[in-house]
Amino acid sequence: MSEPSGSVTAGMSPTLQQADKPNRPDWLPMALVIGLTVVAIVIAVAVTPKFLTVDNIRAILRNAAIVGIVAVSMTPITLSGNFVSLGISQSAMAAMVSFVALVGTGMPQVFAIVLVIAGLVAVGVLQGAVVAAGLNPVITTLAAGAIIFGVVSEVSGGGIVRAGDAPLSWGGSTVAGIPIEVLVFLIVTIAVTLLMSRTVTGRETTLVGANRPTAEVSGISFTRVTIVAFAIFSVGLAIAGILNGAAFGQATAKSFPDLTIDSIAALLVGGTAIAGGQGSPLRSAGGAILIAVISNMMVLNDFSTGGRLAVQGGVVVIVVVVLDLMRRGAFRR
Amino acid sequence: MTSMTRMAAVLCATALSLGTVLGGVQAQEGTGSVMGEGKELVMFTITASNVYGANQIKGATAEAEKLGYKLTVFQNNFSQPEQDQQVQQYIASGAKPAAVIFWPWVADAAINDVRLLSRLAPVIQLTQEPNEKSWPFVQAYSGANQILIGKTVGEMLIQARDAAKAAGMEFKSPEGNLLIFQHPEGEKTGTERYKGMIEATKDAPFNEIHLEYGANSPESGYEIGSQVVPKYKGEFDFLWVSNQQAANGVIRALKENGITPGKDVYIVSGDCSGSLEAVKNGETFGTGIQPAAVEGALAVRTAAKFVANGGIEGDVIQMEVEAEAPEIDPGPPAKFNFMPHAPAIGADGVANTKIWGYNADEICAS
Repeated sequence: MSEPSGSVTAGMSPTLQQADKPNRPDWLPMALVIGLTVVAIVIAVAVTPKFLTVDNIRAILRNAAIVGIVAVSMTPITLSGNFVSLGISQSAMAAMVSFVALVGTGMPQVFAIVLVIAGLVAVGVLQGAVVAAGLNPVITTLAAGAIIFGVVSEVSGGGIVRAGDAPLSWGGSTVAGIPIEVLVFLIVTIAVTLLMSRTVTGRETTLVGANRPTAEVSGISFTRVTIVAFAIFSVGLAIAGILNGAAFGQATAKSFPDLTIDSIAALLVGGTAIAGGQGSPLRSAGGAILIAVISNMMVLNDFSTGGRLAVQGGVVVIVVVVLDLMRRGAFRR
Repeated sequence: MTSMTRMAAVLCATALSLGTVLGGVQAQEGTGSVMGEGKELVMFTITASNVYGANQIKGATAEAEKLGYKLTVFQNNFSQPEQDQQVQQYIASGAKPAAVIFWPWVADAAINDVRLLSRLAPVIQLTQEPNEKSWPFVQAYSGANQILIGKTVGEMLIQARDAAKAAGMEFKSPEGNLLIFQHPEGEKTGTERYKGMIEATKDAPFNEIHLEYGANSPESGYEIGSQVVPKYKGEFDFLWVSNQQAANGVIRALKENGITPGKDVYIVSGDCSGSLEAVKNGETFGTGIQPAAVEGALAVRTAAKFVANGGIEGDVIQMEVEAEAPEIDPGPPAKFNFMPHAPAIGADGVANTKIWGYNADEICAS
């Protein structure tokens, strides 16, 4: 039996069109995220002096960037019905440690970047293959994360890995006043959004998540879709690790302690259905920005750590519940 | 045996068991020697994937070997449930250690662990001081003196103010405005250090404009710093950051906001955990040299001294800063056995600091 390819589109067009046309207006979740962000900004402006300063807006975008890059690049995994990865922190940490270590050996940074991306993609493809073979994606990524953490901890001996005298200051630089990680966030969001909405691979990914049996009957390979989704995700993780490595010039096995939870929260707040089939990378980017705005407002208004976590958790729950109710309403119609 | 006698025997046995369970190991005969002669010490601490944990374990292992003890180490990944499990499994293994060295990850949640371990052997608590609920099961505390660390911070801040004044810096208030990035809210480490800092600066206080919680890593330091710095931009002269790792994140945030550390603002970090580059290049004015390896070694010594003497004597032993490790004092440990702690200001301070054979780079960043 031959694997379907991107050229085999005529036979599956009707089904793909169904996946492309959900039972409710696709703009509703995005409108919800944008609406909530606008409300949060209006409240923040009203109660927070200096909220709308250039420095503060830059800070919000910077804080949204790394989480946003990971959430956006993880969206294909969720869209394909493979839930989320629970090994995010460890993989991004491995990328950060590897990049800093390679640069520290004197390797040209471009080679180090290529090597790190290639390494992460290899690990991601392996996880994708295991998931495609039938293992639970949550357990697979959790186990992979534990292995990666263990290996990096052993190799680094718990110590700090440094880039030495290598010029890594570009990690905190700006282009035309825009921080480099924000630019990369923008580029990654546009690229993954186009990939998911304008290519056969993207539409296949959404269809597999929406209705796997139908997709398989249509000749779409779950294995190929899953592996591609994990590969895209790995590129995002590598970019996040490289950016942070370049910004700090050092890394440890404990880097990125909260990235897993923060990225999943951004993805869910963006309205991507955890079971797959509905959502978009653009919405995940919106989710990351919404969380950063709310977090910033609370920091500037002296909320306690517990209060901040409670409000952030509350926002995730509210958005997910509202979106779920919208979905149910759409299916009833 | 009559039923009444049997009942009395059962009641006596129950009372004795309860006494042991509730009270833990009571005063015991000492062995008379600090040498372990192959006996086991067991240590429950944080993971060696953390630089502080790795150094602490390294110091404890070397000292145990020197004293002839076999050291068994259980590491948790900053997780109280994981530590609970390790304690249960260790107890179930039937091991009979000479003493237990225990760093509870969450002190309040680890009380049952301390209680169970105290039935096995004397417990020496490490790094985190026991609270009133755990003291009945703990024989002695060994580790950092957080009040002293806070005092050292206060003294370095005063020196930073003098240096800034000498450099011609104009303060935002007569005392100098101080912004604080503290440990996560509720952590005893942060509250004790704060008390020490206030105590050290009571005669020459700073104008504290804001205290922000949650900075304990480069990422969290940057995340919080990048938001708080713009809010207070132009309003602060001095920064106190919980540790040097977090300070590195805050320094990044300062630079991104056009503030030059060491010129526009003077930074002091509570301890050097992380790296010393920023202290050497002047971006951080000074830091506290908190030697995790010495803390591990001192915990083993405290345990060995307790086993040798069968009890404690006095309230506090504060170890002085010495370039080489002093010979172990065979006398009993005190209730609080504090490790040495030294300030390091600038590149010279880093270069000249040596504690128990470890230089500043080995202590802080290896």
